[in-house]
Amino acid sequence: MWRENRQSILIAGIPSKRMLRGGTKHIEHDDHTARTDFDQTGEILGLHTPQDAFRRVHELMHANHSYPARMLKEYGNILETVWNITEDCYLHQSHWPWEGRKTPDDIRNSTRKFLRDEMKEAAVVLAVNPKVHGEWPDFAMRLRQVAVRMGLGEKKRTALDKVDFKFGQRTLADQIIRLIEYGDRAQAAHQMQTIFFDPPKNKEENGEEEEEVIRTGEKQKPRSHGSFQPPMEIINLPLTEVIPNATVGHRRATSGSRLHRPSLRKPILPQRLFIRRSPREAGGTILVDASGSMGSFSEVTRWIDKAPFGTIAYYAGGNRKGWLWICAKNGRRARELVSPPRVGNTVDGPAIDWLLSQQGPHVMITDRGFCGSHDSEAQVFRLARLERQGKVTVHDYAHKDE
Amino acid sequence: MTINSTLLASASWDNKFSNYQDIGLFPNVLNRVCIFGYSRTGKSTLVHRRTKSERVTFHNAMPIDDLIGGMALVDGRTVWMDGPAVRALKHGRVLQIDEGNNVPPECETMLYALMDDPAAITLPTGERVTAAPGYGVVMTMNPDPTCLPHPIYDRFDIYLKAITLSNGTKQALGPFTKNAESVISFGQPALKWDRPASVNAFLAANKMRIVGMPDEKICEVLGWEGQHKTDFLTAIAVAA
Repeated sequence: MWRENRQSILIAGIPSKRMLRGGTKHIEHDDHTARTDFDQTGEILGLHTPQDAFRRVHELMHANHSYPARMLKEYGNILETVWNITEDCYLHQSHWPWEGRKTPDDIRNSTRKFLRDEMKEAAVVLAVNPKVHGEWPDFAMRLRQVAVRMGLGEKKRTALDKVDFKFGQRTLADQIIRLIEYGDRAQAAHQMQTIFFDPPKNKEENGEEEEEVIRTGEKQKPRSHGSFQPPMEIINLPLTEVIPNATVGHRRATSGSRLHRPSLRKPILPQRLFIRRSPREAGGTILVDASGSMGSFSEVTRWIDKAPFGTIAYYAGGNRKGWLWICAKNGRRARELVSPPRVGNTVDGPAIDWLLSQQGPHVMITDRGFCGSHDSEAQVFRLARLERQGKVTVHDYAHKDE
Repeated sequence: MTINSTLLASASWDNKFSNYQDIGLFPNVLNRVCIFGYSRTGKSTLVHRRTKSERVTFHNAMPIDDLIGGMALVDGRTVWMDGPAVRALKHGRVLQIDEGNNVPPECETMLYALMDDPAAITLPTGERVTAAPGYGVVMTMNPDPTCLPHPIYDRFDIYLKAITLSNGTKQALGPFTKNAESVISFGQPALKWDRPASVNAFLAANKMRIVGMPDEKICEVLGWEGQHKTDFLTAIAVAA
């Protein structure tokens, strides 16, 4: 059930320059529908609110501070669910209408009730499926709760403590909240997307045509991630040597062009009289973390011997750049491996992106001690998620299981 | 001027009216009040007793002379005789208009001027009369305010909904008060009306804020409670 409130008091809080010519509509819903509709120019088409005061305040904040041009610039390549949460957190941290603890009692009570109800709903979901704790909607909900509590005047530390993050995610939430606090919303959204979602497939893979570039004569502004992202150079080492273990296996078959001669000597000829070549091991890709914390560089060579038909690469980075060397592929390897000039991680994110873009199965050899980039911590969480999803098998550096 | 006295948040309409007068809110800060509601609740009597008002009852055929006065023959000469509105303006009293829903066509535009802030009218004699301090307008009627012409509807600072018996009426009823309370709504018009947002509401809010009233109390005076109150507090805080 919904109805239009033609004499809305709430509408009086929308800036007149954003009021639609002919009147912005305030639609009151009996259910939980809450959203603010605006057009490309930023004019508010409609304000959809439920009955509780908290979400009415929330939508009015959107109507005042969420501008499509800014959001497009900041979250151009971010998933809607991610930028929605980022924007929500930003509004509550920076634009809650009342300073400190001056929120009117009715609105404070409504907000507290909303937070309680949301946590109760989350608890019900977790009781049914505990695995979703710490996954995207759960983490996002808790992160927003922190921002709402901060808006009400709670200290960040207290808010983080009350929200009961999954073990290890409190630090991540702290980092995201800090980024939003310092105005780096794009970076915050990007980090969350990296951690909780797969990288978007490029358009060629999806069979879509490349977007036509509109040449307006203006310099195109980058859809940046906010902070500096160190670039990664991919170096294909010359694969000049055959890996000794890369021998081709054979199997007996019922048809083929080569006879299995020992079988001819048997009194009764077997069905499987022919020989067929077959690779001994399937391909796959192995990425080795070659940073200083990994210690000896021999880990790379060990894995080349272990998986001779796989694509094997290692990566490391310096302060402003990283490198990924492809040192073995299709049974051939480079004669000499290039030692990394620096021994930081730096480009864990791009390296994992590269790994996922290669043929599976994906294996990563690392001690998980990512460092050297602003999103290093985020990449640790991302790797953990990929591991949980079975997309990457992580072998710890100290892993002794052969 | 600062209003420090406590407002009665959940009081009945008659207590609110008396309270506004006691703390100096009416007619010093806000001077246009509309009391609408069930008949026989004591609206007109209360106002007249409390304010010693200049009183006029509207009807559709009322000439303007009944409101502002007119020329009269006195001792063979024509002299101007002030009507209730002019007396209220000149002496700083409350002009009480009963049955305000029957605004006479002849008086409608003059009523706009009487309800302006500050109020002032020009008499047919050419004399300009401006409101003295203490001037105010109280309109009482039975139906809800949507029956009024919009410029009048829009000018009221305070609306009070009289759907309970006033203390004076209860005293008059004596032991039959409870019986009367049970049948108070019989045959009465439906009063499902909430005050909408309007320019004048925000003007009134600003007047009250200037004299030091907190925002939550301003909501109470404007008649915005519950969700209307939180909407108002949100709207003014977000836009600030």
